[in-house]
Amino acid sequence: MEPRRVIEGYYSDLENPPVPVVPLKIFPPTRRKHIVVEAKLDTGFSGPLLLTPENYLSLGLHLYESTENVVGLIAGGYRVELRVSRGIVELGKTSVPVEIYTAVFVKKNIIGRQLLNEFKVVLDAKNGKVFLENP
Amino acid sequence: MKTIGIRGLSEELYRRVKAVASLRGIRVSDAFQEALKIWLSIRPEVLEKFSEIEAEAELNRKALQEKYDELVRDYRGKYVAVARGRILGIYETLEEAAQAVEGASAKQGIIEKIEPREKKEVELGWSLVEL
Repeated sequence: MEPRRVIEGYYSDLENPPVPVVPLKIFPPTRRKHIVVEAKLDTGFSGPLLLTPENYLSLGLHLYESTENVVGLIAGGYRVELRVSRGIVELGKTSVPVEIYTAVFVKKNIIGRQLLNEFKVVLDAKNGKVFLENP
Repeated sequence: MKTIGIRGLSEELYRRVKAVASLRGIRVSDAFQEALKIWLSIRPEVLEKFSEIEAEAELNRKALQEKYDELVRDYRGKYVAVARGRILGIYETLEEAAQAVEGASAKQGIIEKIEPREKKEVELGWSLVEL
């Protein structure tokens, strides 16, 4: 039987009030290398995964880009073009192929609704814990 | 809140910012703060790296664009790999196409599932540029 809990995260104090983050192992499509990053859960982001340009470049994701025209709408009404690539996200024992976005001004790794909606998300703020579970 | 004057700011630019801020129903100071947050988030070394990548990306996009209708007609559902300004080949899987680009010693690569294209818009929120 598939384990219910996929991954456990925590509430990071780097922001005030603390934000839920989870560790992610990210691979390029060829799985030749990987990085482990902490990504913030943000239901205000409708896409799957946004990486900082440094993380995007360190994985070599500029070699697997798509010409898909994705425009990011920032709160406030600004529209920015995003670079779009592909990768594989490993959450615990679950691997999920995803589109990965970046832009020069991005400062945080963010998991958005398109990926979060694959899971049951438990925010236990009282105990400072976050769980992604299989629904 | 403190008042800060900026010497040398173009009046024309200020007028435009004020007009857009007014249209959006926000204060001019909020518009400047938003713009400055984005500006501070951009690191020169990253910008330089992306400029290099973009030069090759432009050639790759052009090479793909020229053949795209043909590819949709003949290879729909397969993957095309593009690097160094040319189409490297057509592949059954994304991974095969990715391997082809890796082998091309390119600065940028494109892997595309061959299908009709559409524009996509995503909400980014605002937290991604918090300082």
